[in-house]
Amino acid sequence: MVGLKKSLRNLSGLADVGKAVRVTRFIDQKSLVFPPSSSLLLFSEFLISMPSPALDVRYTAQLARLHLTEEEIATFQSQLDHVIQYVEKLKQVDVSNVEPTAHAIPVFNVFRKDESRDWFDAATALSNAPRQASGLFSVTKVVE
Amino acid sequence: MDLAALSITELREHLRSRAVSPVEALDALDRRIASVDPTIRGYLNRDIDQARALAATADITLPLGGVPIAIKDVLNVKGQPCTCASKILRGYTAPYDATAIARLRAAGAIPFGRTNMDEFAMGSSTENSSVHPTANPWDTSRIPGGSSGGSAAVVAADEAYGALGSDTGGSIRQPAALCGCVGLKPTYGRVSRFGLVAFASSLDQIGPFSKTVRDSALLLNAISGQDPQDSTSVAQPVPDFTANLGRDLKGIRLGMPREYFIDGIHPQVDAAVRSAIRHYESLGAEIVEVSLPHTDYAVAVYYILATAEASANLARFDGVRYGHRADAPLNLLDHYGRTREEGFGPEVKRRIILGTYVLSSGYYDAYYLRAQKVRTLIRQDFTRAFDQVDAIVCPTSPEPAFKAGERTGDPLKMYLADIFTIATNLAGNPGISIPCGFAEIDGARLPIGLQLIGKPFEEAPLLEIAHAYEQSTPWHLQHPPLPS
Repeated sequence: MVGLKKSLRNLSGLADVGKAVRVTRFIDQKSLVFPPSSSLLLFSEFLISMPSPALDVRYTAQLARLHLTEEEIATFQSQLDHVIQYVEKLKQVDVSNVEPTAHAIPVFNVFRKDESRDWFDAATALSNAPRQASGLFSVTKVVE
Repeated sequence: MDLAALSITELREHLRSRAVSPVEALDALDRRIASVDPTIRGYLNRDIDQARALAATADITLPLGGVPIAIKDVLNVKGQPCTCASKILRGYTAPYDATAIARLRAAGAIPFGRTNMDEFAMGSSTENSSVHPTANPWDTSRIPGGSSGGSAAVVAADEAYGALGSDTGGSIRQPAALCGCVGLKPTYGRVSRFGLVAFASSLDQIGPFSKTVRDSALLLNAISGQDPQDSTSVAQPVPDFTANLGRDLKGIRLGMPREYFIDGIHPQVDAAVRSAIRHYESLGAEIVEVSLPHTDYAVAVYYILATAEASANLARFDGVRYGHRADAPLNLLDHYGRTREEGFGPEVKRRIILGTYVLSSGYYDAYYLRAQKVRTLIRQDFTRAFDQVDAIVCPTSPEPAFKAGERTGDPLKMYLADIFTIATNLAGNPGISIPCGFAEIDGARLPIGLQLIGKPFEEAPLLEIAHAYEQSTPWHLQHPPLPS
C-alpha cells in the first residue's frame, strides 16, 4: 500500500496510469475525502465519478458544485492541462526544511471583546436573498 | 477651467478657497463621464442624485472633503450595487460600507460610481467582465489592463479625480501602468479588507489610483489602519504619507533585480525603465544590482495559492443568501451546480476548478503545500534584497497594453502578464506603479509603468521616492487623446 501510494505520487500528473492505481487511489482517498465535501453524493456515484490522477475537469467540477457543459469541460481540460504543466516547474525547487507561508505578514491571536454590537437586523440580512419565507432564507430541500 | 482634469490636490485647493463647490466638482465629472464613457466604458453605473446629496452637505475642511472617488465594483458601498462584474451578483445591493469606504467618508470623500473589472478580479485585461469590456484611453482598440481596468481607465481619462481598486497579483499596478496613472498596492494588512469581496484572502489588498503620487498618499492616509473587523489588518502606526514628499533622494539606495530585466520584455519598456533608473541616479540615488532568485517561480506559486483561496472563497455563492439562484432545482446538488454554472463566467470557472484540484486529497501536498513553501523562499528573497536597498525598481508590466481579444483564448499567456507584480503580493510588500514614458506602437502612444517596491509598512519612503521621479519628469502631465 505504501509502495503503491508512493508510485502514485510519482505518477501524479501523468494520464496513462493503470486501473490498479486508480483503485488504490480510490481506497486512499475514501478515508480523506469521502463523501466529497457533501453528504449528498452517493457512494456509487462517487465510484463512477472517480478521477484520473491528472487534473480531471469533470470530476473536479463535481467537487466544486459547478455544472459545466461538455464543451466547457473539453476547453478547460486542455487549457488547465497547460497550466498544470507550467506549475510543475515548482518540483525543481528544493523545499526540504522550508516552512510554508500562509500569510505574508503573520498576525497571531487576534481577539476582541465578546460584546454585542449594532449590526444588521433580520430584514437587512434577508434583503438580498433570492428566496425567503417567514423571515428566513428559503433553501432547496436537503433530505429526501 | 477644466475641473475634471484636476488632481485631487488641485481640486482640494479650489474647494477650500470656495472657488469651486463640491456640487460643481461633481457635476463637471458627471459631464466628462457622459462625454467620454460611452467610448471608454470604465463605469458600470453611477448614482448622481445620491452623490449630489452628499456633495451638497460635504464638509470641505476634512482632508478629502467634497472629493468624489470612483470605486471598483468589488467594494461594498451601502445602498449601491456591488456585482464584481459578475452575473451571480446582478441585483445585489450592498447593505453596509466596507471599512475603506467608511474611512473615505469619514475623510469627507464621496463614493461616486462603480468601476468595471474582470469578474471577481480574475484577469489582467478587464475583458472578463460579464457586463462589457473597458477600453484603454490611449488607444481604444487596446485593453486597459486588469483586473481594476475600470478604475485605471476612468482616472486616466479624467472621468474620476481618484479611485479605489484591489490588487491580488497586480490588479492595481498593472492597469495603472497600462493607462498611465499612479496605482499603489499597500503592504498586506495596511488597509482593512472588510467589505472587499474576497478573491484570495492572503493576497488581496485595497489601494488607490490617482493622477499624482501626492494624491495616492492622501487617499492612503484616509483608508489605512487596523480594523477590528479584519483580523489580518495590522496594528502599525499610520503616518501622514504626504509629510515628507519632496525630500531629496541623496543617499537612497535603489535595487535593480537582475531577474526582472530579462529577454521577453518589450524593448521600448526596457528602454524607458532603464532611462528612469538613470534619472534616479541623476537625482542622487545609488543604484545597486540585487537578486530575487525565485522570481521565475512566482507565477506558478500564485496560480496555485490564489486559485485555491478563490475556490474556497467563492463557495459562498450558493444561491441562498444573496445573488443568482437557478430556477426550479431538482435537488440541492442541481441547485448549487446550475446556480454556479449560470452565474460564473469562464475564467472564474477555470480558477475554481484549478483551485479545487490543488486542494483536493492526494494533490494538496504536491501543489498547495509546495507552493506555500516556495512562497516562503520568495519572501526571503525580498527580505535579503531589502538588507541592501531602500526600494526595488523594475518594470510594472513586461509590455504596453495589448489589443483587445488577443489573449482571451490562452489563459496561461494572460497569466504571464502579471510576471513582475505577483511576487510583491506573495511577499506582502507595498508596490507602486508610476508613469515613466510611452511606447510608440502602430501610431499609438502607449503608457509605460515604472514599479517601485518598498519594505513592509514603509509606504512613506516609497511614495517619497516615487514623488521625486514624478515631479522631475513630464509623464504625469500627459493626457490621452480624447475629445475634451
